[in-house]
Amino acid sequence: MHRPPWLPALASVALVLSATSFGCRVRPGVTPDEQVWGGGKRGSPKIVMSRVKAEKGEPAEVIGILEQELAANFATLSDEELELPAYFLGYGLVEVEELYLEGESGALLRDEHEIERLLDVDVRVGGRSLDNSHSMGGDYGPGNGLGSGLSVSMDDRPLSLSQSIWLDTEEQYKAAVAKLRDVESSEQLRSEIDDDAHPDFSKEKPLTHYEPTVVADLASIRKQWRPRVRALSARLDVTPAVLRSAITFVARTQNRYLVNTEGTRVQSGASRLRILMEVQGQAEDGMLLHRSRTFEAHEPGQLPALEELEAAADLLAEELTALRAAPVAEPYTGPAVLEGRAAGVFFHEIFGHRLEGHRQKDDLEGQTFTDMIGKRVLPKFLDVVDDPTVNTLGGAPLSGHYFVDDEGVNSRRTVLVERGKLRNFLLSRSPVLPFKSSNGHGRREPGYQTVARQGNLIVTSRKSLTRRQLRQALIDEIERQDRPYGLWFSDIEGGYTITDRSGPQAFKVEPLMVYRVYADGRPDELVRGVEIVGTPLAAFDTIVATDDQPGIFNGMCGAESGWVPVSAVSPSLLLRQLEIERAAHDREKPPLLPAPTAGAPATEASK
Amino acid sequence: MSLPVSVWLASVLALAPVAPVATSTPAESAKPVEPSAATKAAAAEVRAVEAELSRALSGLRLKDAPAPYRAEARWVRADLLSLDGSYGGVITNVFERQTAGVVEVRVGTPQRDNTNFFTDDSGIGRFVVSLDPSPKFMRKQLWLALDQAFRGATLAYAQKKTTLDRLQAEDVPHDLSAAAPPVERIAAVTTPAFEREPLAALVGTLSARFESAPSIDNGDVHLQILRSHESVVSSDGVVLQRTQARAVLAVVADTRAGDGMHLDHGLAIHIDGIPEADEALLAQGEALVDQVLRELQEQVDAPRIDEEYDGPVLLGPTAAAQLLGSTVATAASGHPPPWADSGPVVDLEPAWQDKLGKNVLPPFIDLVDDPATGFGAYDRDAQGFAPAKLTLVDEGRLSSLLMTRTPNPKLSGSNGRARMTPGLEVGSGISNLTLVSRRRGSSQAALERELLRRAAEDGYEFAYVIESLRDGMVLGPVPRESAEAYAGTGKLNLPVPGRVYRIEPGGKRTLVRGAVLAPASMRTLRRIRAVGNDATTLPLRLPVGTFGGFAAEVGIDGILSQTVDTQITTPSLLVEGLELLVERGEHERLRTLVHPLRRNDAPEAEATGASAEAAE
Repeated sequence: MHRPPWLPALASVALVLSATSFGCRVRPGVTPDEQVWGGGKRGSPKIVMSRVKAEKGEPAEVIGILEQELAANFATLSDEELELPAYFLGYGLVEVEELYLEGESGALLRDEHEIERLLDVDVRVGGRSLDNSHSMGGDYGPGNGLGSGLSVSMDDRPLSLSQSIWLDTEEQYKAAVAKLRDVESSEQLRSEIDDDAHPDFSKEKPLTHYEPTVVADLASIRKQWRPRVRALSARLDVTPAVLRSAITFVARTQNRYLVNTEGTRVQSGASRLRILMEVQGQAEDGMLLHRSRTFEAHEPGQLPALEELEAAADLLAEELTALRAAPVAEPYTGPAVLEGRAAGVFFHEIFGHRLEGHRQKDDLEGQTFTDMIGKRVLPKFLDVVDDPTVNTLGGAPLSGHYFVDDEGVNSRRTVLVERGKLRNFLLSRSPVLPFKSSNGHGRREPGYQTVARQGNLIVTSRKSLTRRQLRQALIDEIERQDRPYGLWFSDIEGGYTITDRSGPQAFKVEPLMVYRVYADGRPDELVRGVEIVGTPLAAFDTIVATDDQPGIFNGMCGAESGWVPVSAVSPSLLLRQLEIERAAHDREKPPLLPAPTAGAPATEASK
Repeated sequence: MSLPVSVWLASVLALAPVAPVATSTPAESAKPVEPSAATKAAAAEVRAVEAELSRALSGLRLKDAPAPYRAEARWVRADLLSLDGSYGGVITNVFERQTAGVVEVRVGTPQRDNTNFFTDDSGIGRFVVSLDPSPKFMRKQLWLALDQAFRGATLAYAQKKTTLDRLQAEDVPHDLSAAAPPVERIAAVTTPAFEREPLAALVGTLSARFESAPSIDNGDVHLQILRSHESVVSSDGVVLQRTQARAVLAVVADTRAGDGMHLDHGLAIHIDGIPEADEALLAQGEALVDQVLRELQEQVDAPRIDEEYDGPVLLGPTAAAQLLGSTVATAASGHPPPWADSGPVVDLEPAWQDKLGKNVLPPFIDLVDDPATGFGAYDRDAQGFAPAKLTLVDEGRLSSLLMTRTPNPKLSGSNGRARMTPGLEVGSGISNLTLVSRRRGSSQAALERELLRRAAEDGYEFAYVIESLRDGMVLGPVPRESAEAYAGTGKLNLPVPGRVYRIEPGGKRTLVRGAVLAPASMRTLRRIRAVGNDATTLPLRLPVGTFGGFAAEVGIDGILSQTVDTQITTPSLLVEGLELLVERGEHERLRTLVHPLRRNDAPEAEATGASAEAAE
């Protein structure tokens, strides 16, 4: 067994959403509609949230091998003769097949098709009330016996798998024991506090869930997309404004096998396809500029047509050219609209991460919403659910869909905010009292400890306007506040939010496309070089209206448990007040020489 | 019975020679050959690179800053197959086409430029390389990379000039010596055919042999093949392209001794070319697995060295070659120490740099480096020079150094020792190094008698024979902190001994473990008292430059991309002045769980099917 270097741990304080990897009528007080986004108001298009049922499959051979090793190793580790016997053991095996194509300026840079199998061993020592998962200072592993991400045999070779499992289980057990000792010592030194002692591990009903193994013909997809990647990459690089550009195409199938000593047996698969287009340029003042666009799908048929991708490539290049010519924005506070997709990112970053269960238990966390259950945290016309059971919304695939989470708990629609009041948190098997069990949001990338994460965060409004009305409302607000202009954010990059209480409970989001909207009828004006800053409670308080169209962001979110696919859905938001500040930027001169005009110089023969 | 590794190496070297690549050497070949389409594509890309280098030299300017006077681009397109088998299963089966590119810009003059100075800025820039030759793509990437490199070079030059003006810097050598005569070699970029699945199956089959060693905890069989198309194009007329295919079959294993000591062992067969999954490779691999398992088990069973020892040591030919690879390969570098704000970084001065004309070995020993034939052969170095046979040490006296175009205070002018790894690192390095004794060598028995006699003079009734050093090039760093021995000023860290025997009068011979070589100075090599008559050639893959050599411990993941091929030929060496320390430190507790292959021997730990609920 060849052990790869440890995966780098992500800082707990900065939760990042990769932009390249990451968008009013009052109605009665019913719970948010489960089938139709926004309830399907009269006059508005009916946007259906569809769900699919998991197909039933037969357990693969590897499940049997994992079960056998689980029994053999747990028999030893749970022996009461041990100084610290294990009370839980879980094996997760993830089989990944991935096609990765990357092109730039008409040339192919990467062309890979690989398969790997990664093993995660989770050992728990102590007891459900206090075990080695207990966070000390935002420590969520690795090195605490939970999550290992070890490469193992790609075939079902019993000896090879059992040897890897044995070695990894041994190391994880030792790490778990060491971590629990640290936790116990640390707890003894802590002062008594009145807060409830949240248990470390919930009791859940064992789940048996077998889906058919997911198989995709990546060889055919490769053949089909290689020339497209070349062609699209050439299309991105047609203007001198573009210094660098890239198109990445990733097709990935993932089959997960999970067994644990509570009797849970899961076999679940998914496939994802993703296209990322990026262009980078530089303004005359040195500011680096970029635009990007992603397309996500669950199956090849959901990907956009080539013409749509070409149009997207052209638009990115056009936008970059426009940004180069745009003036640098001034610091500003005033009314603003976050367009749907940007609003989705905003909610994911600023709100969703603060509802993740483990943050309510960690003393170092800001715990903005920990004691707010039943209290108002958003305007009363907003509802928020996280619903990984939704497969598509209005026909568009949602990346945060899954059937079973990474702790073997069925995914569940969870109402987080109802009529502005906080109802629940995103919960893994690390309970947050008064909630004693998981709501199916335990997620991780192989190699990390599972924590609560977002899946499909869906914001709906009971007070919505049409897009035209929302724009007018912005103009009205500009006039009411006697501002020279308002701001319209049509696209924002991810950003980060500080949830660690040692720092300000602030967020910073980098907008990509920002327009000044003038009340006097002047055309909108593109500006550049700003960042949205603020604190969550203040920012949410100023949302005064929304439109009636869902903006969908699909992307990858990185946090303590690694990168996981997520979606965020939101209508456009009108905020009475949003603050922007100047973004830091390079002052380096653009390239000293003009771009080369041709490929190879003419040869003697060609002359 | 398994053969010694060196025998396999000799046989494997002829296993699958690299197919000759299409080359065009107008300056050298008598009959021009019509180039293929692939060669034309490679040539077109080279022309694009030359055009962009030329444009950069003539156009890149910053006010009040020195102009660039030299630029170079190096790039590589590599096909890498990486296989890892363990206990019958294939854990890694990755085929990747990888590319990388780097440019270097020098500003100022050859007498004084921006190089050889520690700073955050430098004249180096990296660029992206397409999988297939593309003149248009290459020009755009170089345009951006050269721009960045020029800016860095300008800043570095200013900082270096400030430092030199501030310090009493009198004996500072020039920064660049004369270029090689113009040379052009174009090689087509082609895609090799690897027998990926048959080779993966072979690796899996070989690794299944670990099943026969239940007392060994863990083991892997690695097969890596790297076929690289490497290019160097400089503004002073050097165009060098080559395709080389290198492979390594390595077996590594580790386990714990009864006292908890974590022991590992690894051996490799270095292959020149793309191996085929045939019976010959299978047989060689089987023997290698069996040897590693057997020798590791012998280590487990061996007693620990019980006291420190500073008497004479006999190094077998393998250990002697590894020692020279850990010392001479870097100490003989002609690269001067880099400068920093406070002056030359003396810790990075090669140990022999100030020893020219002085005795560095006993007077009966010569050291010769000959790139003409052998595992480390090459006919052009990375700067375009044709290397000649080089006598480094003549009758014990240091007569030359491994020179690139970077002068040092005593020598200027390359002797063709600039070697480039597939990872594009360029540094001075050996090729085929031979230790030649002017004295007749002794038999093994005579050497051991002499060893014991000298040991007795030092008050020991026993002595040590080191058969081999631990191969960190395969195994990476030692897994035990207690095995680390830190060097002081002017001393070199040496690899941990792999196989050490304690011998006693009367013929008793005991394998021991837990010995560590104390850091030693290069003066130790002057205390070679006798040599054997058993000169053996050991192929080695070594990183280049100051941080290179056999002690670099790059591990299996870097053994092809971060090294160049070399070989060292030497007989056994009887040396005084090498000190063996006892490795001290606590070892981890023995394992709690029972290895799957030992479960039948441990009925109390057999699977019971117990569940957590029951345990609770």
